[in-house]
Amino acid sequence: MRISSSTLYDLGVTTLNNQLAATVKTQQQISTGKRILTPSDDPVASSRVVEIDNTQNVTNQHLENISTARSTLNLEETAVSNIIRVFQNARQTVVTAGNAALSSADRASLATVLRSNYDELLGIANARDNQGGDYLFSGYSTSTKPFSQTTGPGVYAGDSGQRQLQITATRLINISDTGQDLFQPGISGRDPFATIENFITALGNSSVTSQVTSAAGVANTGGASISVAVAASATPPQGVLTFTYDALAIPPQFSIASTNPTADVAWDGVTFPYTSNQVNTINGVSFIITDSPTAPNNGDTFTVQNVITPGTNLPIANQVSTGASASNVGNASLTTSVITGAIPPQAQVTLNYSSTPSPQITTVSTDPAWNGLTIPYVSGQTTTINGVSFTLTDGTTPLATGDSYTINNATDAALGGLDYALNNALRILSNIGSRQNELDSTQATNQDASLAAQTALSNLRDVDFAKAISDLTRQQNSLEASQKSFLAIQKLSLFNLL
Amino acid sequence: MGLNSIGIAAVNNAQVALLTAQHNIANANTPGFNRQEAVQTTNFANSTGSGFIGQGAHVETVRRIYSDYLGSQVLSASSQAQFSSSFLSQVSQIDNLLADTGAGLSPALSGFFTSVNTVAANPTSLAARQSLLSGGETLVARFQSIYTQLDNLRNGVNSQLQAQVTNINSYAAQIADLNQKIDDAQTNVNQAPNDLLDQRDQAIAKLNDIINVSVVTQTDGKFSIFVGNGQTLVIGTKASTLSLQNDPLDPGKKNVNYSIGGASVLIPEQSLETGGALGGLLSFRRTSLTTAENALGRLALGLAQSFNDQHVQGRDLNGGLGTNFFNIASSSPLISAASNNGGSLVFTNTGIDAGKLTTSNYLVTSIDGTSFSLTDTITNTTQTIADAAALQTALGAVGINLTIGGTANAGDRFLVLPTRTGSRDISVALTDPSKIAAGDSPIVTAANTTNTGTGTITRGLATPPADPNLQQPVTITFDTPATTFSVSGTGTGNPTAVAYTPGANITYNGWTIQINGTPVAGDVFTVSANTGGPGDNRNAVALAALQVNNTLANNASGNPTTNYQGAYAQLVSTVGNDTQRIRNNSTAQDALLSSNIQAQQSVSGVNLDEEAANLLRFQQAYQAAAKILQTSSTLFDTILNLQ
Repeated sequence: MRISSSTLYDLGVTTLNNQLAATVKTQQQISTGKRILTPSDDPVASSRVVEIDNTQNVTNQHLENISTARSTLNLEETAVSNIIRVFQNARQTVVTAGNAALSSADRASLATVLRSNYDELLGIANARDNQGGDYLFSGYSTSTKPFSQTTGPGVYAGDSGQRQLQITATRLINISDTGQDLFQPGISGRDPFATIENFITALGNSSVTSQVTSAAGVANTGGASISVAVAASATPPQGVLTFTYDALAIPPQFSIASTNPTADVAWDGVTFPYTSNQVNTINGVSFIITDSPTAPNNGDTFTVQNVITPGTNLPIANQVSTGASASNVGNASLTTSVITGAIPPQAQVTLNYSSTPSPQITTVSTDPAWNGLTIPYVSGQTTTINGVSFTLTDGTTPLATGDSYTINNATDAALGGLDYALNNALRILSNIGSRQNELDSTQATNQDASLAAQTALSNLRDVDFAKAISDLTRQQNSLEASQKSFLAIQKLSLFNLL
Repeated sequence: MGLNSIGIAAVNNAQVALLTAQHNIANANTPGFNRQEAVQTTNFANSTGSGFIGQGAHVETVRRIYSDYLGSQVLSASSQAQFSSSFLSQVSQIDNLLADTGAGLSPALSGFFTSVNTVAANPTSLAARQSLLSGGETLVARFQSIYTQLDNLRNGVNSQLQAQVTNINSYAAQIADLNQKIDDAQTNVNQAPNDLLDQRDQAIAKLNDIINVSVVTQTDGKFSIFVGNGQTLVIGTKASTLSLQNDPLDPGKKNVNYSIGGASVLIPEQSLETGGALGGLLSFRRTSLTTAENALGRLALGLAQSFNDQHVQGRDLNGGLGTNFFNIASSSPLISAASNNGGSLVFTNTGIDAGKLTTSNYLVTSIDGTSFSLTDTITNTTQTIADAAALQTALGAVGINLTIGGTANAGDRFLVLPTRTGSRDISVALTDPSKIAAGDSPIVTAANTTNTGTGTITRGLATPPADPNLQQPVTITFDTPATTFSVSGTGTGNPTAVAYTPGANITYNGWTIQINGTPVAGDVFTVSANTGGPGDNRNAVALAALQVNNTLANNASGNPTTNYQGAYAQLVSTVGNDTQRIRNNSTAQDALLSSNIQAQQSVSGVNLDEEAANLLRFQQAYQAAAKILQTSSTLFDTILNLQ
C-alpha cells in the first residue's frame, strides 16, 4: 500500500505525542502519589473518596468530642470525690459530737469544724471548669453560680439541663450533672447543706433564749392569774415550780415546791403571804399574782417554769430536729421546744395525719415512749412528751390524710441526712465512672472505624508505586525507541541519493 | 514532417509531466493538496494502405488524484473528532476544578462542620463561635469561587461561539467566491482547475471542522453547503451569514442564528450538535455545564436552607431566638421572562424547600392566558397546568415557593432556573458571634420544688408556627383532684379544667411540652423564657448532625435521600463520568480519523520518493524526446544534402 510523505511524518508525530502524554501522566501520578489525578480517571472511585472522606471527618469530630467529654468528666469525678470526702468528715464530726460529756467549748469547736465543712462543700458545689469560666453543676446556666447561700439549706440557681456531646452517630453522652441531682437542695432529710446547718444550729452558740413562763393550774376554781418577769442577771429555776394557795393559813399564803429541790434550793419550800398585785422576787425572777378577775380559792395552783429553746445549755443528745415528708399535700409547720431534762426520742418518730374518723395524729416509732399515740388534731395545739413539746400549725394548704412529719433527735437526723447525701454522691460517682468506661470503648471503636476508612481511602486513591514506576520505565523506553526509529526512517529519502 | 511534430509534442509532454512532478514536490506539505498527474493519450493514427501509423501522444489533462468517497469519510470523521475534542477541552476544565483537593468544595465543607462541632463542645467560648462564622464565610467564598469559574466557562463558550461564527461566515464567503472562480476558470478552458478545486475542498474541510455541513453538487458543478437542519449557507456563488444573538429567555446565553431576508432566525440547537467544534460547545453547554451549575447550586441552596431551618429553632448566647445563619438572595430561584412577553404575569420568590429542589430547569409557557404548560428542560417532560394556583403548587413540589401575580398573554414564556445562581447567592447573615444559636429551645420548663406529686415535665420545644408569645411565662396548676389542670399566662387564653393525660402533648404559645407521672392537687409546673443557660449546646449538636443527616433530594415519599457530601460526590461522579466518556470518544474518533486520513493520503498524498522517481523517468523521456528532434533534424539535413 502506498504511503504518502505526510502520512509518514503525521503518524510518527502522533505516536510520539501519545507516548509523551502517557509518560507525563505516569510521572504526575508518581510525584503526587495519587492514582486518581482528576475524577475522570475513575469517576466511581472519586465519588467514593468524597464520601469516605466525609465519614472520616465525622469520626474525627467524634474522637475530638470524646476527648473533651473525658476531660470534663474527669473534672467532675474529682469534684464528686471531694464532696464524698467532705461528707465523710462531717459524719465523723457528728458522731463525735454525740458524746454527752462534751463541754460547750468543745461543742463550739465542733460547730466551727462543721461550718468549715459546709463552706468547703459550698466551694466544691460551685466549682468551675478548666477554662475557669463555666460552673460545673449549674446545668445549662453555666455562668450562674449554682449555690449562693453562705448558711442555711441549699438554694439552687441553675437549671435541670445536662450537657451532652455526640460521640458516635447515634450516641449523645451526658458530660455534666446538675446541682439539683447531686445535692437535692431544699428537700429535708436529703439536702446536705440543710443537714449540716441544722446540726450546727443544734450545737450552736446562739444566745440563751430562755423564757420563764407561768400558767394557772387547770383545776383552779378561783380566778387569779400570775405573771412573771425576769431580770437580766436572773437565775431561772431549773425545775417546774408549783405555787399552792393555802387560804386557810393566817395570813393566806402561797407555798412553792420545785421538782428539782436540789438545784432550786432558793425556791423550794419558800412561802410568802398573799397580797394581790404584790411583786415578789426570788433570784431575779419577779412574779405577781393578782385577783384578776377574782381572788384565788383554796388549793389553787400556779406553775412557773423555765422553757429553753434548743441552745447551748442542752447537750446535743437532748436536741431534736424535725422534718416533713416530700409528698405532703398540706404545708403545715411543725415546731418543737425542749425543756431542761427533756428526753428526746431515741429513734425517729413519724407523725401521721389522718382526717378519719376525726382529725388526728398517730405516732410511729421504735422508741416505745413515742410509739402508737393517737392525738386529736387541733392546729397550733402543743403536745408534750417527756419534756419535748411539738406544735403542728396549719399553713395555707390544709393537711391531708397521709401527710407525715418526723421528729428525731438531732444526731440521728444529721447522720441520716449525711448518709443519704453520701449514697447519692456515690451513685453519681459510679455513673460518671460508667460513662468514662463508655468513652474508652467508644474511642476504641471510633479509632478502628477511622483506620478502616483510611485503608479504604488509600486503596482507592493512592498509586501503587511499584506498578507506576515500572510503567514509567516501560513508557520511557517506548518513547526513546519511537524517537530513534522516527529519525531513522526520516533519513531515508531518494533525494539524498540523487 | 510527422517526426518533428511528434518530437515536439513528445518534448512538450515530457515537460508537462516534469512540471506536474515538480508541482507535486513543491506542494508536498500544502494542506489539502491532492497530487496531480499528467494524463497522456495517444493521438489519432494516420490510416494508410500499409496500416495505421501512430502520431504520437498528447497530454489530455492534468488530473487530480482524488477519491470522493475517501474524502467524505475524512470529512465526517474529522467533524466528529472536532466535536469530541472541543467538548473534552471544556468539560475537562470542570473535571480539573473538582479534582483540586485544596480548592475543591470538600475541604471547605469539612472545615465548616469542624467549627460547628467546636461550638457544640464549647458553646460559651466566643472564640469557637467566631471560628464558626469564619468557617461559614470560607464555605460561602468557596461556593462563589467555583460558581465564578463555571460562569467563566459559560462566558467562554459565548466568546468561542462568536469566534467560530465569524470563521464560519468567512469560510462560507470563501467557498462562494471559489465557486465563482472555478466556474470562470472552467468556462474558459474546459479543464478542471485542480488547485482551485483543492482550495475549495480545503475550505469545506475547515468549515466542516467547525460546523457539520452537507455538501450538494449542483448540476453546473458548483457546491452548495447546508447546515443545521437544512439552512443554506452557500448556494452557488451566494453565501449567507450566521450570527450570534441573545437568547430571549435565558440570560447570558447566546444562540446561533441564521440571517435571512434581513431577519435572524434561531437554528435549533440540537440540529447543530451533530458534529463540529461548534456542536461540541453547544452540547457541552446544554448538558455538562448546566448539570454541574445546577447540582452545585442545589447543594448551596439546600445547605443554606436546611442549616437555617435548624438554626432558627435555637437560642443564642443572650437567650434571644435564633435567626437565619445564611442569607439567600431573592434572586434565587431565578425566573426570567422572555423579552417579548406581552402579559403582566410576575413571580415573587418567598422561599425554597431544600429537600424538594431538583437539578432541572423549567420552561413555563402560557397556552391560552389561563392554563400553562410546564416543561422540564433536562428530562424533556411536559405537564399541563390548569391555572396560576396550580402552577404555584407544581413549582412548590419542586422546592420553589413563590406567589404569582398578574395575568399572562397566550404564548408568554418564562424560564425557571431554580438552582443555577444558588451558589452565587448565598452569604453569611450573622456577624455577631453571640448570635449563633447553639442553645436549644427558647423555653425552659420546671417543676416547682414544693411540688409533692411525682409529676415531671419535659424540656419542651418550640413548634411552628412561630408565636409572638413564645417566651411569655405560663403556669400550669393542677386542680383538686389532680386529673385536670389550669393554665395561666399571656397568650394561652387561661383555660381551666383541662383534662390531664400523662405523656400527652400540651401546646400553647407555639411550644409543646409533655407532663408525665402523677402530680397531686396544687402541683405547679412553669414554662418560661429560657433566658439563662449559655452552656446549652443542644442546637449546636443538632446543627453538627446535619453533616451526616440526609437533607436533600427527596424521593417519591418525600424523604431526603442524600446529605451534602453525598450530593457533592454525585456531582463529582457525574462530571468524571462525562469527561471519561468524552475522552474515550475523542480517542476513538482520533484513531478513526487518523486511519481515514491515511487511506485518503495513500491515494492522494505526495510520496517524495515516487516523485523523485518520476522526475528521473520524465527526464529520460525528455531526453529521448529531444533525441527524436535531433533525429528529425538529421533526417532533414540528409534530404537537403541530396544533390
